[in-house]
Amino acid sequence: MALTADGIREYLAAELGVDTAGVENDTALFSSNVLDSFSMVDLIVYVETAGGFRMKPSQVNLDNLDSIDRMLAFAAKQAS
Amino acid sequence: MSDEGILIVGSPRSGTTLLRRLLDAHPSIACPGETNVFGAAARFLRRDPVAEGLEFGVLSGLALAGFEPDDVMGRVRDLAFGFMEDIAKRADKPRWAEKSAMDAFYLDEIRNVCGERVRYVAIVRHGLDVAKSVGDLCDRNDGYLPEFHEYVRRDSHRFVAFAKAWVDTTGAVLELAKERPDQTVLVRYEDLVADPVATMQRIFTSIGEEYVDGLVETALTKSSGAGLGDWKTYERPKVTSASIDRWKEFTPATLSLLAPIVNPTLEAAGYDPVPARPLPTPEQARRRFELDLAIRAMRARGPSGDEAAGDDA
Repeated sequence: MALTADGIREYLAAELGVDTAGVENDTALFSSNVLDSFSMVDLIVYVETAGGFRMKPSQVNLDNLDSIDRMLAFAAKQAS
Repeated sequence: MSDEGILIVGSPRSGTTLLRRLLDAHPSIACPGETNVFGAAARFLRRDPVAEGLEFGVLSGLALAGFEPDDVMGRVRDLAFGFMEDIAKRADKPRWAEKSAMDAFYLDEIRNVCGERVRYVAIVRHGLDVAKSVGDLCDRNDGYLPEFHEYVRRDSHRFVAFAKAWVDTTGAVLELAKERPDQTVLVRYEDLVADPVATMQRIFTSIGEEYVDGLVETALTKSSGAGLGDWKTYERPKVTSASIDRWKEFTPATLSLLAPIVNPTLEAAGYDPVPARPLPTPEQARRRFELDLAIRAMRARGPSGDEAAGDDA
């Protein structure tokens, strides 16, 4: 499984109950409180599984996770 | 079938108090606050099996002293019924009804005591809403009533304990309704609060009484005597459905624990099963815990404290 924008958006809707109609790739997810803490954990687990990597505690930050674009950018760096 | 008395039975926090106040509002029925008479009778008659089939308790002990079990049971029944008859006489009403929420834990023995001399008004409620409400009750009491404490001793996750208690008590209620259909009217809490008039009409017809116009509208506005466990109904002047679906406040993790416990009984009682994801493996649970800590640290740092993207890649 690869990490994609569509995959993240589908996960947000199907598993976390997020209304993704207004969620763009640069929409702030964590800092805007779209997601609660429990959902954040779920989403990071999904990102790790789909992206095939494991985040270090210091990598869990808004720069790497706060939007779909940022998650994809981080995943791409892990792959390279 | 006798109409001597009416027993309201249901898992605690299933609407039994609401039912008792609605029944007490009827001009022919006296339903006081919890007397605990029948639960006490059941505990008096408790039988504990010991070696080689012998049952330890008052029935065996008195049988060895020459008192037949039926005689003992009859005397206990007369004692309990006598109190209830006096309560009805004092209220100047021809019939008595009794509700004590914890009776659901002793239903088998109560059925033995009462035989066919009472009618049962049985109520069921969604198990996870009950579990939530039991949690409120225990918080209010700053502790656990003995019946719940037994479950909490076995399961330290208190909602697991409450869910198991609900399974046992509701199972007993459903069994009663199945085995004594002519003696029992079974209702759901959700139906009672959605359409109290229709539900009470069904109940009163079942117990041989006429519904009185305006009964539902006025029942909670007048005092029906103080009763242990009455606190919530006195806070609301009318029947309301505000307490339905509170179980949806549980976290997904808690629902994962509770769903397998309650779903079979939920379905037996006519409810939809609770959807829940599978429980995480221990490794997954540890990873989730690590991520939860990292997220808390991220929140604590706030946007200005974030490290640059790509560090430690």
